Parts: sequence; C-alpha cells; structure tokens
Amino acid sequence: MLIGLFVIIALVLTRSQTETTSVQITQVSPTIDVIKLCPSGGATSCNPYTGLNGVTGSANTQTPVDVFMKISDLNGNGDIAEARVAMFHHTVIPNTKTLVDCDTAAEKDGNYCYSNYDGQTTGGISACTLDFTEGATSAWYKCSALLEYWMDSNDYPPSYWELSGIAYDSTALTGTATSSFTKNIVLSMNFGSSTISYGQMSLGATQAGISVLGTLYGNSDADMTIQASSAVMTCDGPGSANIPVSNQRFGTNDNIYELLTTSFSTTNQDLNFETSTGLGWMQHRTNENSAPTDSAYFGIQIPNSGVSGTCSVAAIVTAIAQ
Amino acid sequence: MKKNSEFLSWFVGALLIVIAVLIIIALAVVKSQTETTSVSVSQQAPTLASVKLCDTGLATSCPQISDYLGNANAPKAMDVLVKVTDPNGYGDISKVETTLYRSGIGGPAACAGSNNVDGNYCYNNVYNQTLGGVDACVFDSAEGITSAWWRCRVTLQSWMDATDPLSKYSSQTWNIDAVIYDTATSTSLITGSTFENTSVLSMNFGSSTISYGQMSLGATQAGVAVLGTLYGNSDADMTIQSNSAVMSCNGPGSANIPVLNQRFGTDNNTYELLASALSTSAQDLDFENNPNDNKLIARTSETTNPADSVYFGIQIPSTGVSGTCSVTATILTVAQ
Repeated sequence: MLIGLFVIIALVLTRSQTETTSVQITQVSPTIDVIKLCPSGGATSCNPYTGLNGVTGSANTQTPVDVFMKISDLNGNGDIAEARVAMFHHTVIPNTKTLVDCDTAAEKDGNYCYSNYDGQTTGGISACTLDFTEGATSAWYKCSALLEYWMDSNDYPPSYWELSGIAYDSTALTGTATSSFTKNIVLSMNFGSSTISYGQMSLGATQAGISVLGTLYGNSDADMTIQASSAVMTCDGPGSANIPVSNQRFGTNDNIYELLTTSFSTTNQDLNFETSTGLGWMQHRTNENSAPTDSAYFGIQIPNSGVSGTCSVAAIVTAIAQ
Repeated sequence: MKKNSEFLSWFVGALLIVIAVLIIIALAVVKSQTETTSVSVSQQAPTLASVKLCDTGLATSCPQISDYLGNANAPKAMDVLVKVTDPNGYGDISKVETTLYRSGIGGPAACAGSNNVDGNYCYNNVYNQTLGGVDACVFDSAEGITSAWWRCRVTLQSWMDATDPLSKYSSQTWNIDAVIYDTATSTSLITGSTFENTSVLSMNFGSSTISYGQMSLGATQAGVAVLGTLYGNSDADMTIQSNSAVMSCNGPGSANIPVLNQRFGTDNNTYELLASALSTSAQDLDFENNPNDNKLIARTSETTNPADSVYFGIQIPSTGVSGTCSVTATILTVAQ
C-alpha cells in the first residue's frame, strides 16, 4: 500500500518539461558556378557556344538558344530564389557597351542586348526556370532566348558577347558570374531576282530602269558582285550574232541606259548595294523591324543589226563581306 | 397521689430549666472558639494522551496524517495536535513543547533545544527553542476537566528527509515527541506518534528555450549552459529526449539538421568534447553535485538548493540548411 501510494505520488510529481532548441543559420550568398550558352533543347551537359564553336544560327530567322546556369547555395538549393541573365555585346569599338547597357529595365535589342537581368519580361530572354537540382546545394537554371540573325558578331576586337548572370537567394543575397561566347559572322544577301527579262526590244533600242532589290541578311556588312558567265549574250536567231555582255549596264541609281555606271563583264564587279549613298556596300542590320535593302538598276542596248532571236546570258551574283 | 404528681412536675420543670441553662452555656462556648480544617492534594504528573500531525487549522478531531507529502519547492505549515491529561485538572497544564525528528538521528534528545535544528531531520520548540521551525504550542481546547488539546504550528521544509519505502531512510520514521509542563513539574520527552514523509521528486530545467542565435554554415558553438536545480527530497537526475530526429529548418527548400548535431555534457568543453549527442532516446543529462556522481543528491543545505549545469553545443552542417532550425525535446526528472 505504501509503495503503491508512493509510485502514484511520484508519478504525479515527476516533472516533464519541454525545451526547444533553435538556431538561426546565417545566409550565405549563392554562387554561379557555370554559365553558358547552348543550342536550344540541350541538356545541362551541352557543349557551349564558345571559342570556335560560336553561334552561327540562321541567316534570316531567329535561332533558339538556352542559357544554363549552375547555381550553388550552401544553404541548400532550395534557398535559391531566382536566376537572371543578361546577354550583351561587350564592345569598346565603335561604342562602349557593357552590362549597364543591358541590365536595368533594358529592352531587347537584336543587335546587342538580350536580358531579363532586371526582371524585365520584354528583354528577349524568358524568365529563368529551375531545370533540375544537383545534389543538395546546387541547381541548374535555364533561360531561353531567340537570337536574331542580325545580332552583332564578334567583329570588333576586343569585343565579345558576354553572359552576365545573377542569382538571388531567399534573402536577396546575390551571386554573379560571367562568361563569353562567340557569335559568328553570317554573310547573307539576297539578290531579288533570278531572272532579268528585258522583254521584246527592237534593234538599236536601249532600255534601263530594271531594278533588282538586294536584301541584306545575316549580321555582316556586305555587297554583291556580278560576273557574267560568258562574254556574250547568246542569241538563238538563225545565223544571229551574239550581243556582248558589255551591252548590259548597271548602276545604283535609276538612270537612263547611258548613265548607268558600269558595263557588265566576265569579271566581278560590285553591284554597290548600299545603305547610304556613296557608301558602296550595305551595313549590317541595326533596325529591329526591317532588313536593309537597296536596288540596283540594269539596262541594255540592242545592237543596230545582226542579232535576232532570244539572247541570254547567265551571270553569277556573289555576296561579299565588307 | 396529688403530691407525687406535683413533685414530678416540679422536677421535670427544674430539669428543663437546667438543660436550658446548659444549652445557653454551650452556645456561648461554641461562639467563642475557632477551628481550622485543611487538606494537601498531591500533584500528579501530566501525561501525553495522544499526538497527531494534521493539516493546519483543523479541529482536534482531524485525521492523523500517517504519510505526509510536502511541497516540492516551498515550506509547508502543519499542525501538531497534542492531547495532554492532568488529573489535577487541565488548567494545571502550563506548557507543551514538541519535536519532530527522523528516528535515525539518535533519539528525541538529539532534536531538542537550540542546537538541533535542521530542515532535513529536526524541527522542535523544546526548551523554549524559537528558531526550530515549531511555533510555541498554544492551548486549543479542553476535553473534560482533566484533558486539553494543545496546538503547535510547524513549518516543514521541502527538503525534509523522506522515510517512505523507496527512500534512503526507508527503515526509519518521523517521530513526534512532546514535553509537557504543569504547574509543578514536567515530563521528559515522550514519543507520541510517528509518520512517514513521502519522497518528492522535483527538478527544474533552467531554460525552456536554448537559442544558439545566428550561426554560419559549418560553424560550431558550445558553452550554452543550462542550470538544473533540485527541489523536493529525492536524489534525482534528468533525461533529455528529442521529440524528432531532426531540427526542422524553415529556410526555403532547406534540409534539416540531425539532432545529433547537438551535443551536451557535464563539463564546459568545446563542441567536439561534449560527451553525448542528442537523440530521440532518453539520455541522462548527468546533473551532479560532484564529478561522477551522475545525479544530484537531495538537498542538505539549509540555504541553497542543489544545482548543476549541463552544457550544450551544436554544429551547423557545412551546406544545405538555411533559416531557423528548431526542435523540441522532452526533459524528464528521474529519481535516482
């Protein structure tokens, strides 16, 4: 009886306390271990566009690419809140452009700036998303962009394309990293017609004002040359002589035949498509809305005698980087 | 015949006159004398009829407490009710004194007087002791013409030695003795009754929260002391048992910290030298009075409770955690 009583009392008096231990973990800034540009749709192990493996892309359409960032946060990859990136043409010549030209609220510029660095949604790079986690403290983020075909190439040493990434953790601590990639030169022009037909003409007649539109694609300054494949336009009239190709002339201005500046020949001659008068070539596209274009004007003089039938000659038009 | 009758009448009359004179003389003699009668009543020693321990303020019919249960951390007042009888009448009782002592200390004399006061084992007001934890006994009520109840208020301490079966003094009892004085004499110390003091197990873990504060990844911290204080009258230690295997962290996506990253020990060491890792099983905290005691021994000091510190520490993982990490543990007091 005494024992029973004691046990009951002892249980009642046994004091159970709870104790909470707690600790606040100091936040550590995230770091960006890898930042690279890869073809769209690749894995994080993708081969980046660096060095000789630059972005070539398309001559006249957009090229989808992905920016991959491997971000580490010692507080755990769950602590990584956001990743952003600016992709910009870092130049000194002809103009200095650095990150500040492509971070805060910068709009996209097809030539030199693609960014969501400030959280902007119209900067040409989609919001970066978690691709997958790697271990406890790292995660890959992916941000997609559509590169315009006219984006500047690395043609002004020491210019380069820079990827500048910034990672935020849950307490807005940040880590940044940069890398560079190569944008190759893409030379592309379109000669607007594959056939110039002067139509029915009389002996001794002249014709001019046949315009052909040259359109510049790619990201290179360019012009075109034209070279006749033969010294003569071959006429198919019975016993007809041929027409010297030099009877065809061309120029950059819409003049009468006699004022067209250049006679056609079997040697390469510049067509002098140009974006401004007297420049002599077309400067690469800088307009967000339209490609550079210019017209060349062709004309012909029919000999006074000796030719009949349909006379034709093939020519080679070549786009030349300038 | 007539003469005889007259003579008899004269004779009777004379006789009556003589008697009357004698009576008058006797009356005169009585009135003139004094006479004293006296008796000396023997004093009888008072006797102790009964003694009992009751809760305070109860009538003398209160039930006697045979298993006393004190407070964990505060004195507790009780009444010792002493019934005394004196054949010379209860009014002849002049004073009652009492002593409460653990039987093993060597008899009532060991707990009487001013030099024998100890919260563990001795309370008394014998020999006019005023500091022994027992107030002067006061007359309470009469019972008949020769008995009376006296009431003595005693203040029992929380660390008063337990004598119940599981205590270290289980073979002993608490005795209540009394000394009774009447107008002429007094008794020796008389054992009146006994009771058992129940073990009271009580400890206080000095903190409901251990906060390590702000720490960096991979950092360690130690030296966070928590004081354990023993109350009651039992030897005791405490155990600690984590309610979860991990400290939950509220950082976004954060991993948790295993509770074994918290360590504790009886010495104030660096983290690595703390003896035990916290876990979900109960482990002794080893509060102790002396090194290697591994428990706190029931209080014997008149002034302070036994206390000891245990020291906690933590190591933050080098990666993967953020925010505030916490876990709740259960602390139990365990009799030793």
